[in-house]
Amino acid sequence: MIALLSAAQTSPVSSWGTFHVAYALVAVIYVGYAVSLWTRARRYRREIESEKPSSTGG
Amino acid sequence: MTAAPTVARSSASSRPALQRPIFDWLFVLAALGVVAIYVRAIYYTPIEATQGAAQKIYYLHVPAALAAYIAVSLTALTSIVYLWLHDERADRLAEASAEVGLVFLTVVLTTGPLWGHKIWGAWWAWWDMRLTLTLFLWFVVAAYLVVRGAVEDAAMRARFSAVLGILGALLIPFIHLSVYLFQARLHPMPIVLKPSEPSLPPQMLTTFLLAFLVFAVLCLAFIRVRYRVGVLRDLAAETIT
Repeated sequence: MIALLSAAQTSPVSSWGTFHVAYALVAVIYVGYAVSLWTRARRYRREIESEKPSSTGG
Repeated sequence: MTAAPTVARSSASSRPALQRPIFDWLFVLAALGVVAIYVRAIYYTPIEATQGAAQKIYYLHVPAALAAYIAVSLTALTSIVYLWLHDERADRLAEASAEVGLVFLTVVLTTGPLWGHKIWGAWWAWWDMRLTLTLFLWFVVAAYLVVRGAVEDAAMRARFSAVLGILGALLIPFIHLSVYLFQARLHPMPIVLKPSEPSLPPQMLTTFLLAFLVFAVLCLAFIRVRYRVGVLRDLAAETIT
């Protein structure tokens, strides 16, 4: 069974650093992927508008 | 079989893709949901007594794994549809799902070792089959995307990658059941997805279920956006002819 701490207690394990790193890393991965999608969409739109062929895949 | 595949031949009906915004209402909703989950997990969910704050990684790690299962399963499903109907939309959806699945698997494989290092004292253990099979799935999905980039002929590309997509999804039940199948393991037995009642306290269970919902929606929103990028790419390629 999972045990919880009351508001007055502090954890015996100091793992705030790990927690912060993980949450920041996940945010970077999702935001980075969203930016990559936006960048690719913008590039393809420019290519279509200028009627130039795409030089790269995916 | 004589039906001619129609892959990568964008129709005139794809033209509205040019005007459509790439990020739609579903993506905005999912992004707001992720912010809400961060706030709830950090400030409004209790700290577990033995693991401390690191246990909160659970609300990102497990939903990302389940979202990856959804994405890779969708790849397999749409690959089957493609092999059956030779519909380019199924192939494009399979490609979009695979790429998004790879992103979620990357989240799983980065948060897992961080959490494991703190709690188990080990970044990685090859004998833990859930870890190793998840890495194998990452490689299979990466190979799927590499194949798509390497094969020039559109029909062959779609057919080869469809087979790989279906085979990759076969790993999912083994990953999920690996804790039952193998005695030597670091991963615990399921605490939510199990036949009996979940053994999480109600506040933690609520946060987990909300996180699962939000990351599943984020996964679908990413797939929709990636599908649109695929449509634009095919339209751009069409400008050659």
